[in-house]
Amino acid sequence: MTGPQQRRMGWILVGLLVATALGITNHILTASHVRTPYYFGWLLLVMVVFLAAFGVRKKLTFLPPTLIFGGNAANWLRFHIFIGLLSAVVFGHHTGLRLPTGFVETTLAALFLGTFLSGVTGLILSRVIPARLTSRGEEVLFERIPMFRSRLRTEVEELVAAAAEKSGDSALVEFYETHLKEFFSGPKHILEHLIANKRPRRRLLQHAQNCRRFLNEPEHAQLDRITQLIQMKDDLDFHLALQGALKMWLFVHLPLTCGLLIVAVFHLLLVHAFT
Amino acid sequence: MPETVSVTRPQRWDHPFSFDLNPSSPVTDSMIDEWLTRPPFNQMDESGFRKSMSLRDLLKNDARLMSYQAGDIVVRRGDWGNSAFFILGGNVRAEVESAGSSIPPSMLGRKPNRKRTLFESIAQLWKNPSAPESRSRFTPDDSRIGNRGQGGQTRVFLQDLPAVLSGYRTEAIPPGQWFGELSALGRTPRTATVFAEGPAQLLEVRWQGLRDLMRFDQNSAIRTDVEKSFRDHALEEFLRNHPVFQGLSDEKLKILMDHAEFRTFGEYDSPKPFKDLAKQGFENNFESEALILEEGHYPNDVFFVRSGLARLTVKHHHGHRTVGYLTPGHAYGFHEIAASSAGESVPYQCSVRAISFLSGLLIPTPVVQLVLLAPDENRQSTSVLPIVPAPVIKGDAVPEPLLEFLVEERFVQATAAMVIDLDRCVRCDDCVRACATAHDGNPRFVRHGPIHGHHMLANACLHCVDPVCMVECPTGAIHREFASGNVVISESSCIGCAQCANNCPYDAIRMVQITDQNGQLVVDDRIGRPLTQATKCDLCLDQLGGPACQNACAHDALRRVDLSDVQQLQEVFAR
Repeated sequence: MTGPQQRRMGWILVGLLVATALGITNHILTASHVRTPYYFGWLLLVMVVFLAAFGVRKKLTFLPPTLIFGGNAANWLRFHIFIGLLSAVVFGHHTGLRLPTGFVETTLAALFLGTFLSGVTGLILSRVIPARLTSRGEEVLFERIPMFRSRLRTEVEELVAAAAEKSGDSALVEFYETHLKEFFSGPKHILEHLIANKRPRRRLLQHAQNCRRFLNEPEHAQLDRITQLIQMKDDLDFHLALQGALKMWLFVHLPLTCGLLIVAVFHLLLVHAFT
Repeated sequence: MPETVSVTRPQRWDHPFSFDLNPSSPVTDSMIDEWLTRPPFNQMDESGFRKSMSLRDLLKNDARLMSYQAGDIVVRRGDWGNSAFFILGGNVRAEVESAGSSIPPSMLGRKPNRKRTLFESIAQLWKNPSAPESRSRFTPDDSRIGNRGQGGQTRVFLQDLPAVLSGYRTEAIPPGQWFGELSALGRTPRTATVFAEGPAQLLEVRWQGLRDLMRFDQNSAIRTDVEKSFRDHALEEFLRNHPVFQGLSDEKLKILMDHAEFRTFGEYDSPKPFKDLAKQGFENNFESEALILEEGHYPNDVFFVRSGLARLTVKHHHGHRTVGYLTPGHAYGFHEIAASSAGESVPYQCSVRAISFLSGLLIPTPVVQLVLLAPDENRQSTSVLPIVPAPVIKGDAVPEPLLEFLVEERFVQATAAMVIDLDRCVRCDDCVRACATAHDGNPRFVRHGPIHGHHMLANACLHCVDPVCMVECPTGAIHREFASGNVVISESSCIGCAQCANNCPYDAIRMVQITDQNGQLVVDDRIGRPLTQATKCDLCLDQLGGPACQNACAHDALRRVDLSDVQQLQEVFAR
């Protein structure tokens, strides 16, 4: 086992130990007629505040890691994942795994579960997608993808127009109008890229191959270039889809976290006001 | 068949040195006549010079006359230059380093070495200007210096010369003396600040010219001076600071100093060789690399790298494969000589080749055996082998394809390469945002660059071992910060000439149009064009936490790596 794998196993073992300890504590306290939901509620709130503080920590990159509890951002992310996963266990003990009743409780539970699940989704995406991105196409900055796409469209349109003008034949124009115009007009096959489905790409390349027999010799060179451009555009869409997914989950996770914090504080006030 | 264009092959002296300064004032025959009446030029034997490269030709094309006024700084400690100076007349003084009383960096037009306070660091979150590349002031940070002249002729001068003369220890350099020759020949930083005390005329000779003056003069008029200077100053400093020679008696050091040979290898007629070399491909690069030690030959010397980089290669079928590289301080040949001393006959196991330009020391085998391999009661260990700095060689940590990539792309220069593990990077750009926060809202790198396997070497300053960006800066604005060795740009003395950006082989320096605090474009009042300045990564020198990019990466994907450090290479590339 290599270093990172050993570390990961270490975190999992510690997590299991802590979860077991929490379970035993809950059992003992409940048997002693202590208000366990109340204490687990406080613990959960502290954990949620700590988890939300990661967003603040990420902004303080100019401070020495030694000056900040937990060290650098990478350490904080490890704690964030660890505490985040553990928070589901504490949530279970806090609620007793009962269905919530009332508007505030239901909203709070939904927000917690939404935040937790979006976080787990983000964790999975951040572990799976980077290696997939590296394996295909050129590395490209997300913000520059529209510019590159526009360049590809311009090039393919110029190629088709030049070929038509030179040969006086419209085979390539027809091929472009029928199969490529929409493909080059904007992002396409996003869902297929996310689930690693290459069928649309193969279909387009097959159309290009079928078109070859209607072309003369000089047009073959142009079709070869168009085929390359199809693959480049498909790779761009692939990067757009995957990089987009890496960014989009945060747009769910962060607002839910804010909502969770607000409703949790409201819930706390209600608990103290009416007990 | 492609069309061809016929041109005359460019020649070495198509562009004389004096043209860099002012094409309308070239070196004239009457100037040369006058110089040739003075020592050491009148002591030189011209018979060794080629007809196509006479002494007069060398002086005409590789030298230029420089005039300085009182207070003008000629070179600064820490500057990198590719020329040497000969004092024709006037008063020139050099600062003599003495503890606690050296001329402060800000007074030399450099970035003040100051970390932000904790409050200043946090205040960046709301105090950073909203306008891009905003500057609060457009004059030097220190009122005791000023600029005069334009472009390549810009001079930085000390406004209050008497205060410098009275406040700091300086020594006059008399006419007829050279200075700056060792750093020009060895491509090492200037070791002292030199300025004009009054009107002075200097002959500035570029590196190639000085090399040829030394090479072809049969009387060795200049060579003797340069070698003496090297043995008196640079060699002793090198030996005393190198771990291999620690604890040696003065007597043994003297033997070393008497026998060590200072050599330079490789050519650089352009300060931007890597950019061109990278395009040529391995075979062309390899052919152009000077051979220092040859695999299979008897080990006559140990070779120490003083500046520059060397490649270790072994023969492989009909070609050569790269198995390692040497950076300054590394040595090669010890193990072969040690084995020979033990009775085995072991030839050099690798060839050592200079990557671009390199300077180093050759120490003959008998001297190594006598001084370093023989028992010495002053030294703790009887063997020097454990303390010879290990070069980076092929192994589990650095597989051969990676090694070839790092050497071919010249990334082995890096002391702080930005290496991004793309299998971990989630492309969140937190690193770019952190960099922007630490630099008044302006990121100093682009998350883009060459990729090997799943590692990207981003276009951020590598803080090179041999920073060619610094060679042609006319004001010394780009310099090494003394304490850390980081290459930084002083905003107060950058005149926007773009020499550094053009010379950087890694596209790590960007020229930007600067604005004032209201976001208005700043225009040069003399020429009416927007003012530009060079910007680059400074490794967050003024930040408390060090490189913000590395601190910001939550996925541990981004690391700043010293590529001469095997342990760091292993940590980063073998993950």
